[in-house]
Amino acid sequence: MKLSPPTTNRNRRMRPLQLVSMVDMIFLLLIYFLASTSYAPPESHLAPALMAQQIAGGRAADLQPQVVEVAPVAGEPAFRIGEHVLRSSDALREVLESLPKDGGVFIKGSGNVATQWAIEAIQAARDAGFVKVTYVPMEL
Amino acid sequence: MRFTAESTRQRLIEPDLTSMVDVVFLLIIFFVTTSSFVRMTRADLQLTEVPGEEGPESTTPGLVINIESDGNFIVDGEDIDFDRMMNMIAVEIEKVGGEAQSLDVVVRADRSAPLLHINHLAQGMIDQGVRSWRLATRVPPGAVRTGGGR
Repeated sequence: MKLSPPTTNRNRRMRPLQLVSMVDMIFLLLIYFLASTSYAPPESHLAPALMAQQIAGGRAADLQPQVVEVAPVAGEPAFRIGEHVLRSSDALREVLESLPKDGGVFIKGSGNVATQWAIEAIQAARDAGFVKVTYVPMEL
Repeated sequence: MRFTAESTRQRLIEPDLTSMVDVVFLLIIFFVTTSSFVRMTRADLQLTEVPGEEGPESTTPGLVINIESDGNFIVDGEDIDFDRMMNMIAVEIEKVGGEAQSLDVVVRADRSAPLLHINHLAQGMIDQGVRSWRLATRVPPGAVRTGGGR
């Protein structure tokens, strides 16, 4: 009497793992993900408040905010704060650092300069220690 | 009686390739869907290189608006005009319970795009009651972020 399972079943059960095909599949997946993944540079953000120009100009407050205008001066983009006309964000930051910060700062962006200038102004205000930074759109 | 041979035979369990393939396909589907989502929300733009500010990161912004250098608006990988974008903002405001101030808008603008387009967008958002937004920046290598605030 033969109680053991048939030879074919036993052989099937003891078949070694097909590592070659497994490794093939893993390498194919690896190549796929390497090829499909695009390198994304790290991004951050600036979060100024938004305020309409007419509201900003028409409201009286005890603490007047500093106003930085980003606009072309003599045909070149510049930061204007009071009588100062500044051409770099570092110079703007230095001026802002010396000003009182309780009233916050308004960044007014003229429509005919590049976005980069407004964002650099917001960054300079943050770096100078201003907590309340408000963006005011101009010239619509 | 021979016990040794039998126990050795039982230890050699055949791996279940079906479940392995299931897992592999699930992984493929996951990566394919997530990578296409990132591609849809983020257009290929030259952002302004400044460190940005530290603050609470929102993992799922309500709306990501891309502005190309020529002023084109792109939302979810699709070119849209200004009026349609205003409608989308209105829909997003509805989704957050009609409270425009709680809508999280991220604006990714090309650094060379004229500020006119940002101003147009900002004024449109103000008109709809949105008072806060985030302007995306590209972090320069080795940059340190400043403290955030309003």
